[in-house]
Amino acid sequence: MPKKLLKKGDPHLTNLTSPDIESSAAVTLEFWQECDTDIPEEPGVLIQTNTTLDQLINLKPGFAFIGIQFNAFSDGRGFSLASQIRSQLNYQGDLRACGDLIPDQIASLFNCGFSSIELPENTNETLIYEYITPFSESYQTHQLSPTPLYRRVTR
Amino acid sequence: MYQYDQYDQNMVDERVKQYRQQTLRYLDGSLTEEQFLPLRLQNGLYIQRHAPMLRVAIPYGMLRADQLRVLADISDQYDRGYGHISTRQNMQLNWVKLDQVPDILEKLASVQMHAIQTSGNCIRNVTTDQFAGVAFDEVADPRPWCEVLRQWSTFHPEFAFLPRKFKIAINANTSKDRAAIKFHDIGLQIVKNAQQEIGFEVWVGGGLGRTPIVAEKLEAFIHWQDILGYLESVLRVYNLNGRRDNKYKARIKILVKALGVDTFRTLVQTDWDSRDQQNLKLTQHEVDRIHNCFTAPDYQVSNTDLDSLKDMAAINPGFRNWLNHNIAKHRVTGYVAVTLALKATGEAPGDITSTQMNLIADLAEQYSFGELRTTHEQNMVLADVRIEDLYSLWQILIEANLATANIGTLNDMICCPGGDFCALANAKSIPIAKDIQAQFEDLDYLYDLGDIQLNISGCMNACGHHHIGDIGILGVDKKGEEFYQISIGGHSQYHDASIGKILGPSFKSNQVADVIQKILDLYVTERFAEESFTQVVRRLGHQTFKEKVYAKKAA
Repeated sequence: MPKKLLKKGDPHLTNLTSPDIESSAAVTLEFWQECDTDIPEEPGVLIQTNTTLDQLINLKPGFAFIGIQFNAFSDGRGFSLASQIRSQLNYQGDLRACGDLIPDQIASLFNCGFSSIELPENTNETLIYEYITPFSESYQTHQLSPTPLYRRVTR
Repeated sequence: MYQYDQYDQNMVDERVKQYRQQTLRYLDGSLTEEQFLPLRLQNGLYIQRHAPMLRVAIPYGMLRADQLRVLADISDQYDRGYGHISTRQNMQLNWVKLDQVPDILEKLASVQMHAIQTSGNCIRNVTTDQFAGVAFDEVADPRPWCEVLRQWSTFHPEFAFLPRKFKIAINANTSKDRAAIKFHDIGLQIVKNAQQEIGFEVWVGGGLGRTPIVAEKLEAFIHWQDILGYLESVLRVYNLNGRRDNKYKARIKILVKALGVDTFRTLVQTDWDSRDQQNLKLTQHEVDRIHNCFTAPDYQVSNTDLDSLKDMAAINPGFRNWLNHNIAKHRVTGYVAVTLALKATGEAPGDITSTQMNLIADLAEQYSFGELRTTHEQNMVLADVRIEDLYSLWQILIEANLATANIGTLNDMICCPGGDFCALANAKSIPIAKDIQAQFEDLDYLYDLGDIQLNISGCMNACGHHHIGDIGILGVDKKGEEFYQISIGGHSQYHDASIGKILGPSFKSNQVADVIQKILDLYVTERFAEESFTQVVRRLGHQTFKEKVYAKKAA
């Protein structure tokens, strides 16, 4: 069953219980790079947390999003990989967190450069805003601000 | 000392709310044990042998009197009336109840305290020299930089699920490294460049635990404006490449060894070059704001020096011993720093009762501008005491069992909580400490030995820093029985860092104190005047000590 999707800055965030926002289909990196037939609907490309940037440099265009697959929520590599995909590859498109995540990671995922998150299982959707912004500010760069607190405000 | 502004206060208040909600979700079953584990660990809550243990953060060891009073209240209300100072300068409460932790955190937040990132696979409490800001030979006061790092590392979104825990220490002293930076995941030595600008010499990959390694130099100078951005790149390379398949090989030291420091440096540089460095630069305004919290207190000009106490000391040997061992020089004339010993014979090293906490809070207000410090040797410090006040302070400390004049001696040992409390331990460590304290109770003998660091860990995790003690004791498990491995020759100093070497087969608990006696006997017999324990070990060689310790008694 497709998973519900949280999108960064999505105006539909108020309507999260609606099942119409779904994570679309994705294919593996290997499949995408080798496949030479036209796929009518652009799929996402799913990569593992141990993927290196070298493997992504020649990524074939025409995909809908890059999805980083967490096989365990405690595998923190996905956070840094997202950050490097943004900074070193300068990727501007949709970057999606997929797989075994817990709702308490939602804010950090957005803060590291993910633009969409497959809603973790067992997410209590009435608490969704607390997961998205558990803190009114953060010392580091922020989902809505590319600068750290010490450059963002005058204290 | 740093004062929270509204941003800092909101952060800890909101954290209490978040953690309360996480605890409720765990208790009602919507968070599994496995999911709750990293969340509670990131908040300092371990499940221990008898009860959960809460580790309260004391950032770089700095405390205000009112904060210590709240810790005393908490230990009375939620624990058994005492706390334990850890080797990362934090305070551990050994008997808290899981469902009461949110209330404890709320009390802590009311005095600008928390338990954030005191455990878990994240960036831990940044530590430094306990005499920071009052010591001689400092390039700069390291405390404002510790605070800069505290804020940067707090809830860092990228580094909450590292391969393993991550410890950073800062030293600014040119003659002594009381922070042991070369045994940290990252060690920062504050230095100045030719233009007299502050920067950091960056050391990486040091550590104790089951694979003790001395750190390697990563960079000679990172300008203060760039330090946070640069550290992020170091952490990022570790987060992506550190081993996750084996927790005993997951620390950054293993990665640096595996890649070699040069390759590691290249990876860091590549990441750092790709970043918007301008955007990560620390601002002068922010650094000034934090520095302004650490201005010198209102010292009274005085020419009184320690010589003025000569007569009093001559007629009072107890006072004399205390002056000789528990007092450290201060950069301001007329002042000293006083170490309050939490190592009285018969007490678990580092333990402090709520009565002592309240008393120390009063003394801090009366004698030391309302501030105090915890040390990584598990003592406390009043850092700004007037020499004129020393005698009256000493009299009060004697009454409270806080004036044991053994600082720096064998009995000022570092000791983890061990098998009495810790679920990880292979063996008890506190009873060993007590045996040794009892055997070497004679202060004159201890003074004659001079400064000797004895460190005890109850397991390989090395919380008692046994690798860097002149004498190190490690608890091991042999088929369900507790044994102790003894090493000698460890040293934590900047210019001379080394890891102790194991003497040989391990001993039963009742043999340990006698083995220490044999080692010390050899040292005393063989030393030349003023020769330290480490120097004798290096001169005579390890084998000589080994032969002495394992010699069969003549029939």
